Amino acid sequence: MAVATSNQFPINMPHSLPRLIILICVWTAVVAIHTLFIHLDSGFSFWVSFSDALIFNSLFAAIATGLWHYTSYVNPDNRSTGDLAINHLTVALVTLSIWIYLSILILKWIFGNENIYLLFLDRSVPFRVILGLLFYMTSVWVFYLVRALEKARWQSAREEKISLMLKDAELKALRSQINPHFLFNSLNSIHALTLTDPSRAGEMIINLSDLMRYSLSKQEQMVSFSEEINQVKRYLEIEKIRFSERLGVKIMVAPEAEEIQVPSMILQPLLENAVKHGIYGIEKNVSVSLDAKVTESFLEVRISNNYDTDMPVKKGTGLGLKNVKDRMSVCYHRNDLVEIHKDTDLFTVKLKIPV
Amino acid sequence: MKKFKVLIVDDESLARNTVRKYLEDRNDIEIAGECSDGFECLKFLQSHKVDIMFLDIQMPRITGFEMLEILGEKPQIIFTTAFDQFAIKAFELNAVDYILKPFSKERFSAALEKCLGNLKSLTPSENKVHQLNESITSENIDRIVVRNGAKVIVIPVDSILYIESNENYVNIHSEKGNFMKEKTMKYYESCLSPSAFIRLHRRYIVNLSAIQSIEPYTKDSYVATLKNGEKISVSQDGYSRFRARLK
Repeated sequence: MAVATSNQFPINMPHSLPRLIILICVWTAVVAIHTLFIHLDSGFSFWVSFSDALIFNSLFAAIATGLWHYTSYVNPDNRSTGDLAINHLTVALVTLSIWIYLSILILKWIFGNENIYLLFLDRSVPFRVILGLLFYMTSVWVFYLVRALEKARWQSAREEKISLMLKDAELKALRSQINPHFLFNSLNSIHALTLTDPSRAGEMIINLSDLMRYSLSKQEQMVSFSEEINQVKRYLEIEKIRFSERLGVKIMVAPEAEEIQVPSMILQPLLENAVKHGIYGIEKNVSVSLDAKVTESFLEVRISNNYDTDMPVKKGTGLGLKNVKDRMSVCYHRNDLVEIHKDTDLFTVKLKIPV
Repeated sequence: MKKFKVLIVDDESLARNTVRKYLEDRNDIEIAGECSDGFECLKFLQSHKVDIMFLDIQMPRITGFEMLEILGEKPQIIFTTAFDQFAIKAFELNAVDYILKPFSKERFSAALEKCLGNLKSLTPSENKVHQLNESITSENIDRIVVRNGAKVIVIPVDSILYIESNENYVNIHSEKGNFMKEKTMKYYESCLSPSAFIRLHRRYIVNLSAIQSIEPYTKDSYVATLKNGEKISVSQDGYSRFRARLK
């Protein structure tokens, strides 16, 4: 069972070696302190003191193992405070009685002829009850703490995994798909060309096929910038057949930019926007330019088109831009990588891709 | 034999080529002209009369729909577009047919025959009355195209101060001036963003950002002062709507 994907926090966690070592250390220390205390305070021999410490504490350790499982069923998450108190009081009473009774029984059996010790054993019962309660409370508290910490760690691991899955899904959703408008318009242009200029129709089909192949096959997120530029060129080539002299294109890419890794299909939506804004504006003509250069920490890509401020732009054109913004922020965890500049007649989107 | 006159309106020359090519062997049709946008088309129709128009929807400057809104006498219209999302609106505008690009010659001819059938059965007077239907949509518009004499003006909705009803048409008062438009108040109530516009009176839809103040006028009416100093009446209902909006 994959822990992080199951919805239920596993009640019994697998035993881990470090935890076992810590437990052994703690109990060794307790036994040592217990031994020393009886040896120095009450003057019993080291052997007697050690036996006392070992029997009492190992029995308690056994009980604590049971308590560990018990705390998984009776915990603050599913019980009221009153319920919890009654539960623990009952269990403490029963376990501590058994604990003290059994320990004394075993020690009496071992040291049947050490009268002073037997007397001490009987007299120490109240003290042992207090000690037992202290042990009980400490163990329960530690157990709850460990469980809470484990649960928090398990939850954060789960959340991390979910957020990773979400990010992946988000990126898939944001990855620009071929715009159906573009596809149908291209098919219409091809159809028109088959009637008048079949060889150009053939060229356009090949361009469109390459374009679609790139957009469908680039499932990996990152590609080299030169691959992106080639895709952009194919796209603009197709649009140029559609709009002929109405579309002017200027692409300038610094040679050192070519091998830089960028998110795939990040440029095309921006160019689609640029073409659409210009073509359907008042001018009817558009010149689109793409300029890429490398600065110290960024590959800076500027995509601009002429536009007219007078003309209210039809809705829906902001979608491609929003998509690019979202993808950039998902890819690089930054929100300042896409800038928009509106001059009097020039609309520019600046993309800053961290190198 | 009378030849029917056809106008091809499309911003893409390749798309116009297709229509021209499909009409090549028709001897009952004459291509009267080709236009590459709505403005050109309006200009062309001022001096020419055509029977049938093949009209693209998404074009530079204004859309095919916007152009139809301000076109007086309408020929038989066949919309040609690559997208089917406009189909409903197209038929509400009394289009004869709506063909999706790329279209086959058979599909094209069927649409053409429908127009020819209409033209032959209609009496000349009926032919002229092509009343534009109104579509009450929930889709918000972001601009309104109006005609002022021979000029076509595109008004961004942001620059509208208020719209005043005037029997069968409305007066649009905007920063660019006042314009008349053959639409109803109900239409604008449905397609102007409700977060930006409010109906303050049976006769007025007002841009919220143009309102300077609203004060009591008589016992059960109010008066709104606009940023440009104009005063318009506000009804009891309009005032409650305004109050509700402020909450």
